[in-house]
Amino acid sequence: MSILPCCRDATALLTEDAEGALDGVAKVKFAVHLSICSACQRLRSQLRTTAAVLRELPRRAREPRAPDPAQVDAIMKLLEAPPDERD
Amino acid sequence: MSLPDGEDDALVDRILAGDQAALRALIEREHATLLRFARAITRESDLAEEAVQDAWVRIYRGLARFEKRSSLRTWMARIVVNRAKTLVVRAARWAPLDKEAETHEDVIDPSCFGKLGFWISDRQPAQWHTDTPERLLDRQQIRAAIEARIEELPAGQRAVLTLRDLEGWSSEEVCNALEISESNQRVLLHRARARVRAALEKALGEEGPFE
Repeated sequence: MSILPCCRDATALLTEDAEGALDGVAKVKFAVHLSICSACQRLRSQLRTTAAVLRELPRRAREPRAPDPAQVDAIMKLLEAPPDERD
Repeated sequence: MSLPDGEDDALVDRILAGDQAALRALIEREHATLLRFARAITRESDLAEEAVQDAWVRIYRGLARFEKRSSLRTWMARIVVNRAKTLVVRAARWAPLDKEAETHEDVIDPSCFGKLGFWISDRQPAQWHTDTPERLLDRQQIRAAIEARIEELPAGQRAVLTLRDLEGWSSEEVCNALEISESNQRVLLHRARARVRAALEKALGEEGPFE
């Protein structure tokens, strides 16, 4: 087993780490690699920015967050119909 | 992404008591989310509409059997997932999500790394001009590039990314709704975010630096 993960292996662990799924020796080795590798640090920062951009995206979407009242009426009507008419 | 404890329970009780206003409130609150979720699975709007409409019937019929072991939204999402999967399977386009996660995929182009697995100096991630997510999304071309890349993601990646990042669900809720393991959920999330990052990087490169 190598002492520290290489960049290829470290980049594969970025989300594992962000999700709190790394522990013990693996977490320490990953942290040490990150502390000395500026390229992996940059990738981690960009993945964080990407996640933040994605979280912000729905607020910019053109699609409405609430359904059209006519659409709600249609679903209500569907649910009010007797079971045999729904199938 | 659930309501505070008790609010969903109260809503369910009112619906079961025949309160139509409560049923309408639930549809108004959840329909758009369920539709986006179904679209993440089906890709096609028509199929997603059909899945969610079918799901509402099953949700309404099954509400009395909702045991509150998971949140109402997770329970409803699972019904939508099953309907969407059924419709996609019927259209012969479904691949199991766990299988997708277990299939090897290089998140970073392997040619970026040397023989020992370290970055090749001129293949490292490009420096981004620092800016906030809000300002990045002010740029139409960047927004369009991200949306296009999300559309292109494989079904599992798209579903996980949609729920985790766009809808703000917890990993536990996503695993329950999609019936995938925690580790496979993380694999799909990592791949999806990496693909969107690459799209963002490309769009930034094409647009040039920020002013």
